[in-house]
Order: sequence, then C-alpha cells, then structure tokens
Amino acid sequence: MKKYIVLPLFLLLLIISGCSSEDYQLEKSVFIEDITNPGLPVYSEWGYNTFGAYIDREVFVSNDSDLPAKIIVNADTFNLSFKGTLDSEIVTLRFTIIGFSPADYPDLVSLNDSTIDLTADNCFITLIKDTTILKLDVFQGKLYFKRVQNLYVDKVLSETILSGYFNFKTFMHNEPVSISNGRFDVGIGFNNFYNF
Amino acid sequence: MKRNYLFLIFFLSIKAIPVQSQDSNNFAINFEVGSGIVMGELNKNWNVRQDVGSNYYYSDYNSNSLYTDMTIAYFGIKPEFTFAYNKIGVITGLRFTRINSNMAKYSASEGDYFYLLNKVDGNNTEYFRINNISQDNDYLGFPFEIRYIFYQSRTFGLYFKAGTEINFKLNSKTDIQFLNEPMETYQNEILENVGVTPNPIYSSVYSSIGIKIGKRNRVNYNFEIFLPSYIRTPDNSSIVVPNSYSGFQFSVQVPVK
Repeated sequence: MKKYIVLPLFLLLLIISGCSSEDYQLEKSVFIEDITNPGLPVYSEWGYNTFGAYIDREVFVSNDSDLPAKIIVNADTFNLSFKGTLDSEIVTLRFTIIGFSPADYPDLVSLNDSTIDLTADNCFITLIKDTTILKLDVFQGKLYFKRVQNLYVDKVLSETILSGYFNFKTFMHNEPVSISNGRFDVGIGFNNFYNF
Repeated sequence: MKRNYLFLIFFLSIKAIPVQSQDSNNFAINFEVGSGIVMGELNKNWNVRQDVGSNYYYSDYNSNSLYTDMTIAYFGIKPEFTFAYNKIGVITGLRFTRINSNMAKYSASEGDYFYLLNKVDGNNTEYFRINNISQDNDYLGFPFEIRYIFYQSRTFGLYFKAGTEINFKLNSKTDIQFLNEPMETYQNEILENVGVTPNPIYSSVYSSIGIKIGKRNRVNYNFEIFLPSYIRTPDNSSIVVPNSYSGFQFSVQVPVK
C-alpha cells in the first residue's frame, strides 16, 4: 500500500520541480557600486536583485538579508515593493498601480519599455517603516520599466527580470523631498510573486 | 737538446689552441621543450553573470570568483648555426605548440558553476549553468632566433636570446562542461553566439636569458627563462585576451660535425 502512495508523490514532486527552476544563486544579490552615484548599485539588466535611490542625500538601497522586491497582485491592484535599508532602518517603498493585474510573473513582460506616470490617479506610493505606513503625495515623477525579460536557465523558465529607473518628488514631514537616481534590477519568480 | 724539444712541443701546443678557437663556425641541432604562462583577461564576448564577485579576473583568488588561465607548451627541433667564435647563433626549425585556456570558478572542483548568457531573443533571455570552459589550440610553425653568448667558460656559458615565430593552426577543440549534462547539445550554439574563432595564425616575439652547460663541440644542455614576451596575433584563444607571457625552456644541443 505504501508504494502506491510514495511513487505518485515522487512523480508529483518531479513534475513540480520541472515546471520552473529556482536557483539559489540567482536569488542572491550582486551589488556593484555605481562610481558616479556612490552608495547606489550600478544599473544592470542581469537580475542582480538590487535597487537603490537617493532620498535627498540619504541612500535607500537593497541589502543582502532582505528580499529586495516583491510583487503582490490583489484583484485589479498591482503592488511592487522594494525593501531595503535607509539610515540603518529597514524600509519598504511600494508602488501601487490600479487596473493592472498580471496572472503570473511571466505576464510581467507586458511592462517592457513602459513608463508609469506616478502622478496619475490610479497610481500611488507608500513608504513603510516598522508599523508606520505613509502614503506619499507625489507631485512629480515616473517609474520606468526599461527592460522586462523572461529568464530561462538551462532551457527552463526561472524568473522574470525587471530592470528600470524611478524618480519622484513628494512631501515628507511637510517638507518637499526628492527621490532621485532610483534604479532597480530584480528577479521576480515563484518566491516573490503573489496573486490572491 | 731535450729541453729545446720540450720547449718546441710546448710552444706548438700553445699555438694549436688558438687554431682550434678560430674554428668559429659550428652547426648543431637543438631539441627543445618549453612552457609559458600567459597574463591576460577574459574575452568580453563571453557574457558571464557577475554573481562570481565584482572582480572576476585572474588576480582575484576569492573562491567565489571566476578565473581564467592560458598556458603555452611546445617542443621542437631547431638547427643552429654559430659563428664569431661560437658567440652568436642563428636558429630556426620546426616547433609544435599547444595553447590551452580555461575559464571556471575557483570552487569549480566542488561542483560550483557560473551563469553564461547565451542569447537574448525579444523578451526572452537564456543562461546556461557552466562548470568549466576549456580550449586547446595546436599550431605547427617556424621559430627564428638569434642567440648571443656573452660569457663562456670551458663548461658553462650565459646567453641572451631573442626571437620570433610564426605558426599555423593544426587543430582546435573547445569543451564546455555544463552543470546540466543534457545541455551539451547546445555547445555549438553557444560557440556560435560568442562568435570568437581561434586565429589560424599564431605569432609571438620573445626574449630570454639562459645558461648553457657543456664543453665546446660536445652535447650542451641549455636552460632559459623568458623575459616578458608578447603574442602578436589576436584570438589565439577564444577565452583569454593575452597581455604578455613568461616561462622557461630546456633544450639539448647536439653538435653536428
């Protein structure tokens, strides 16, 4: 009786593992500093799992311990979250776009070479620090997906790489603040794409 | 009278020595083997994902880093004609050379691998996981050398040599070791996409300083160290772009009467 349970389970595991390849090496962050923008990673399209931006003069950047990006799709709302370090604290910057709901991560290629106007009504940005959630009043800015590509490793779909730039101006503590030189190069796959 | 005879014999012996020294043209055959290490860097046609570390060149010994190496090994047979009291030698001949180059992570022996970008097709990008890439290029050719012996005692000499060579490719073999063995069927596709084929001609210029051990007109043994030498032709390796090389050579010189 046991072999009738174990064998199908084994086959099921094989099938699941063949559907996509999750390689730990690909999930690691590769930080190569941009010498023209100290503290920020160089712009790349390799899926190096890094991002960075200046918030006025402070550096907000990915780190080695936190997952740098997550995509959460809920009904018709698309959320792209970048989690990293700002002034020694863990902070999440979340871009929310209403009306865009990819079913799975390969569908993200529809964002290739597209620009999101961050002042549009269907778009807003949230800054999350500890339990504090601050919705930012953006009066100027863009999120540019320069390149979005499906990555195949050894002929098996592994992840979708999102690479691009962002910059915007907003208010923090009643003062105008500039988020500039923002860049990202992140891999989105089974581990960090959520649709519920 | 006996003393006069003895003196005459002694005098003629002394006179005989310069006569032998003035026989300054000699012909010998050299049998040589040599090896060199080439300093260089990875050919940028190979698009490697830099999770191997921000500096993946030869000089970085971090076990997570990629290294490249290129070596030259050769053997040959070279006639040498000497003149000017055997101080100057002109050498040519036939030489077989193998140029070997490799690319892998330092921890490849533990099964580690790197990602190689194969192609970008619209919105799809393809990597392969590679353990090691190695290449052997074989050449047959002709060296041309001049040797100057600047110090010579009865059994020991020091010399300086300069030379150049031109060689023609006999064979080239590239082997890509994939982490995933079934991917071996894509080796030719990868090499096509990299687009670097080994040059059919290999030429270099070199100089060396050496010691020779042996008596005149006997078998001599030569050992020399290359001074920084240069490969003059591009793409003698698809993997490494060379800067300079150094190495050593051992040869046996057999006089021909």
